[in-house]
Amino acid sequence: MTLIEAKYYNSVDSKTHLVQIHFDQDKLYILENEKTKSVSINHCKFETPIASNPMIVELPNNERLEVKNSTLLVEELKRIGHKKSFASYHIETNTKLFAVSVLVTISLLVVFIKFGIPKMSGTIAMHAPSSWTEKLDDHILSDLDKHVFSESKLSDETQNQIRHYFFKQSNTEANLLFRKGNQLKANAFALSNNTIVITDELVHSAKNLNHLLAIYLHEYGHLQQKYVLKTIVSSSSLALLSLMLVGDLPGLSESLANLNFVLLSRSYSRGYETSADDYSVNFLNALDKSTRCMSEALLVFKSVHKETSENNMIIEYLATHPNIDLRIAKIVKSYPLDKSCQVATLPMTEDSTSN
Amino acid sequence: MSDTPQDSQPLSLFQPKFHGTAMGYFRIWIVNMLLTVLTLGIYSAWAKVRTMKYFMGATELDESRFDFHGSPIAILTGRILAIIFFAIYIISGRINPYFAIVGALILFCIIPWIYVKSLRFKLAYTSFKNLRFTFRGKIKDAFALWLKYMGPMVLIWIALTITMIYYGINENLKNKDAAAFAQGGVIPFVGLYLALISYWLFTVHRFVNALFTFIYNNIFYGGQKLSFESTSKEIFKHIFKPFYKYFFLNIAAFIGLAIVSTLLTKMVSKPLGTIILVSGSIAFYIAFICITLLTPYLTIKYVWSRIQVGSYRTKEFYDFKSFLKLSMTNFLAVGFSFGFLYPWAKVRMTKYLVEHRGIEINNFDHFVADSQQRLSAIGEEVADTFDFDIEVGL
Repeated sequence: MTLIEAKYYNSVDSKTHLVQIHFDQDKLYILENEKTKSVSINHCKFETPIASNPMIVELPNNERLEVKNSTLLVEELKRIGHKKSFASYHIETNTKLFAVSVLVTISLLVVFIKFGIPKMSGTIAMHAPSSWTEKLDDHILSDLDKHVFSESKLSDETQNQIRHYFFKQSNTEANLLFRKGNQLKANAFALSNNTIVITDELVHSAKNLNHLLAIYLHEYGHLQQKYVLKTIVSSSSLALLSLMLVGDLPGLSESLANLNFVLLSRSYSRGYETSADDYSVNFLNALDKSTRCMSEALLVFKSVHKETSENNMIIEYLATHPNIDLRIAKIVKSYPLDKSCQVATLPMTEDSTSN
Repeated sequence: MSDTPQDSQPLSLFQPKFHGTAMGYFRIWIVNMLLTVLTLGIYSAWAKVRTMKYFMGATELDESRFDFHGSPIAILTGRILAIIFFAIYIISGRINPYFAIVGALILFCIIPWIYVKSLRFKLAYTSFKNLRFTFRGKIKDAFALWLKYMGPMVLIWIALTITMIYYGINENLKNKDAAAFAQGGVIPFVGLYLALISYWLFTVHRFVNALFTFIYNNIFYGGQKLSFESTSKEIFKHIFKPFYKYFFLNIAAFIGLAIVSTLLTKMVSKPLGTIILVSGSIAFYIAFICITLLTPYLTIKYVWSRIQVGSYRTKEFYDFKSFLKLSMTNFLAVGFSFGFLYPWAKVRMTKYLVEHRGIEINNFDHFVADSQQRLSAIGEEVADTFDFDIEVGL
């Protein structure tokens, strides 16, 4: 007979009674000084033990026992053939099961972040109704027009010449808009529906119309791959995941922990940029144009933005775009035999007003 | 509490001890997360109960542990209802923005109900030495309190919303009635905003005092009522005055720094001005974080020095330096570990908060039970979804 130390509480007052308990057949015996009380095991509720906390036994009439040595009590219950499994307690306390839990949890998180979210974002973005993307386009463009862009200084004729060249060469038809980029300098943007914005500064910096075409095709790739919607869905999914993991943290820690997830979403963005590069390069190749148009356009972009070519891990982790030299090297590696990009003149550089 | 010879025993200071460990909670946290993911979120209600039970069961006072008895099914039901409420609120707002205003007003009206239900649930399922705590505040009293202090704010907010709608501010001021707004709308708009801020500044300490008095004077341990002595003047002096003082000092220091940096840039050198501005901004943000931590710290300190259980008074031994050090290290550890150091952070903060309070009492054996009631967890879950964190400070 194993005697187990316990604390007994009645349901009337707060007095603590130091008792000993033991089991015999289907009964639980409670011994206090000379007195003994017995309760049928079927009328007792044995709560699942938690870590090193005392184990609670609820008795009839709202009475209860607090057993410090929960391991001993669990063993006794097993010995007398009590059926309760205490599954979560076993997973938590069994070293092997716990190690497996840690591995499975981390693996599930990694798989979900690495493959689940991009796959899910892609599927949702591809099947989203066009009304969503149209609304988004209006909203993003009006926001950019309000805070960043100003009206393009390129003449209507120049703008139409560029549009005509792109559409004729690539047989694509996007809603191509021109704006003065101001602090965004030479740049191009794909909005969510069918709109591409190219800044005056980029047109002036590019010199070669085929460089501009390569950039246009990169942005067109974003449109085809629904880049904006994908980004929205993936960042929202990460925010939800973050909420699930660290949702009940105090505000400060939560916001810093969330920052990790924001930075993770940057890695998705870098992935989308790489696939837009691939889209442009393959398109150029299919049009019998040199893929160097894209790599040279990236060089122009680099010189304008004075991008660092240093391969810094921290900068890469923070950036929305992959390192520009790596992007160029990837294109050269994919098409090593291509010659320089053929120069197509820019009629508008002569007749346009300067920026 | 009965009058017994025990009442004549000398008073001793009893302080709780927290036995939780980072590893102990980490094991529970990981298994909870795994089972929640595998059951597509359903297990989260059981996970919550298990976590509450762990923290309560690890808290010892007078060699006895606290316990939490909440039912996972009640929590799950509450959670589902909260999601449905929230979805209706979001979807109706998308259909028509006016629905969102109506929804916000309905939410405003049911907040006292959510709050009282939540407190009732949390306390009714918490026990110590097998005696339950109860919250007996009435919903109508909570509603009267809410209406008294928040009603005027809502009226100002409605007036502000009507002004915004009238002048088309919420849609596209740029294209609509910009001229009309510039002519007649600026004064009521700015005036209402100032009224809202002033009302808040002059009322918030009164509201907090009324709220704390309502909460802590309606809590019972078994049949013993708790009491709480406080005035709005004291709340202002001990919580809001220090906060305002450091908050505005910090802003003034930053403005001063910006002026010095601009002068240095123009008169001495640009790099020097930039260095001063950048280092000053970092100091400003760090000071700002410290100041935001001041409010919860002062609140906990204020509450725990004023609760009485019968004739026995609670005590606190917190100091801001330790609290700040703990909060900042927790903040950095959790933030830079993708949340994986969360169990460690939570356990050490709980340990600090629990072990630096106490009660002067002769003994704990003479409290008696009162009728117990079971409540649904709906109130609490609705509160959770709308991000209410009710600190009942047991």
